[in-house]
Amino acid sequence: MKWNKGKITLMSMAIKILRKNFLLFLAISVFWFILPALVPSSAAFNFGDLLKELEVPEKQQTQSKKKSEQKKPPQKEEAGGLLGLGKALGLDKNTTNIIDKSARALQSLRPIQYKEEAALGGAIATQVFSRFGGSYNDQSLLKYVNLIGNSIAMFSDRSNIPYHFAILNNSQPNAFAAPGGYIFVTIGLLKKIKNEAELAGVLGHEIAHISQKHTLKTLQRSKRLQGISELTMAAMDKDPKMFSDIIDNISKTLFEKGLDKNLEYEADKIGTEYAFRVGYNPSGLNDFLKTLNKIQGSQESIFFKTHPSPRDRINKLSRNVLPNYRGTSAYPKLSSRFEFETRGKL
Amino acid sequence: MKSNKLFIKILFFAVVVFLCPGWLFAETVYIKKNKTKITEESSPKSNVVAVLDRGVTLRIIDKKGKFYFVKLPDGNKGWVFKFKVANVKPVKENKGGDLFAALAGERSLEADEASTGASIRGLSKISENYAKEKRIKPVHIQAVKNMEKFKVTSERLDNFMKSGKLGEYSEME
Repeated sequence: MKWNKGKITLMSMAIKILRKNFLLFLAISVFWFILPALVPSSAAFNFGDLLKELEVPEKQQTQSKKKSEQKKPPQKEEAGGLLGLGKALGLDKNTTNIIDKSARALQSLRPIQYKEEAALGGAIATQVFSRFGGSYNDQSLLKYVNLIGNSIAMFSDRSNIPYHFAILNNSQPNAFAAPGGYIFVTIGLLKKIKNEAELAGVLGHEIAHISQKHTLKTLQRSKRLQGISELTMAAMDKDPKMFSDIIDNISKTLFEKGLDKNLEYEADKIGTEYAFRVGYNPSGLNDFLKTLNKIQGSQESIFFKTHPSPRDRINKLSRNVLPNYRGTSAYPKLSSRFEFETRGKL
Repeated sequence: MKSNKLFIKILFFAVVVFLCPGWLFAETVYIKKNKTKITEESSPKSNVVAVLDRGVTLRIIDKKGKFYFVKLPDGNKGWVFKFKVANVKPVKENKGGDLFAALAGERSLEADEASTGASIRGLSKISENYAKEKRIKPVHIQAVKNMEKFKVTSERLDNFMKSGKLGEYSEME
């Protein structure tokens, strides 16, 4: 009885509220129904990507200012858009210069594009082969590495560029990622790997460097390259010295200094996720780092100079990353397939 | 009494939101790769309903394990492996979605074109010139070209995944 009374009171109050706020409810309902028509992909908005788009390399604005003040021949390839607009409209020289300067400043704000990235990566790739023993020519082993690599690349966050994988004839365990999708593993690394999940973890780490554009971000922040405002094919074609300087800078990072250790930790995290997406046991990279940890000190490799210590990486993975993959211990490591595919080839 | 009224008001709003049609909250996702198969059941072995290209918009109706039940633009429905779709519409690499490049008159080729055909094929001239200038041996320059030429067909990749019970062939939930 008491409950019934309460129910009636509740209903009558609800009706009262509905009456009082009828217009408001009507407006809300109409809004909800119209919203998807107005913004069909509203659910897909990603703030992270917006930030990526808006990311402006440090000090680049001042760089472009400096550069635009230098005398530079106009580049035909970039004559569209705002460039040359002042002249076309018959404006005076000063106004034309201001418009051209603004156009170049705008151009310098945009991220390095794939075509330029691939050119940088191709040049770095020649350096990698030259410095680390050249290519290890076993076509069936190469096919196997390519299959694992491409499976991971397909499920990565940057699956719309081509990825190329190669094996280096070098006994030190190491792996490299050059911009534009060039990935290398040494034969020394393959010898230390125990199963496919471990190799997937390593390749996932390298693909993460490319998908997150770690090398390019490091390059854009480099103080030594402050004078460069335009990293376009046209600009690089015209100034081979500039191109050469950039490659030297990237080479120094990849082969001597190493990337910032936080970028390495990030690549560990994202690489583990990529391997997991394919269906591999997410412990693969962590397991391989344990092997590296054991051999550190006993085996020479620039890997240990260019990366944070395996111990630190294992700690970060165990503490911050692997707990997100609880219940995945049964995921395959594919030890027997790895053994079969590599037998007599390493 | 006043707090009771406020509570009922909040409750009422919650009911209104709850009663909103389900599709209003349906997540929109986009196909990541060309030739992505949409199947009748949440298994790659079931019948193929459609083969979609990159960028096609789908609406998620239901989720089961690593598969999404989706509504296609033509109204058909089917299942897709969840890692074959992205929450963000794939950006064409070279345009980078940036207004700045367009304003500055930048015209460049897209990565998709690069991977499928004519535009950016092999080691660029500038990279090769750099290598020659640095006296990198021709064998290493050729190694980069070979690396770029090495292709894995989607059929071979599919068979590789199938035999390793990976990707959509995974038996793990």
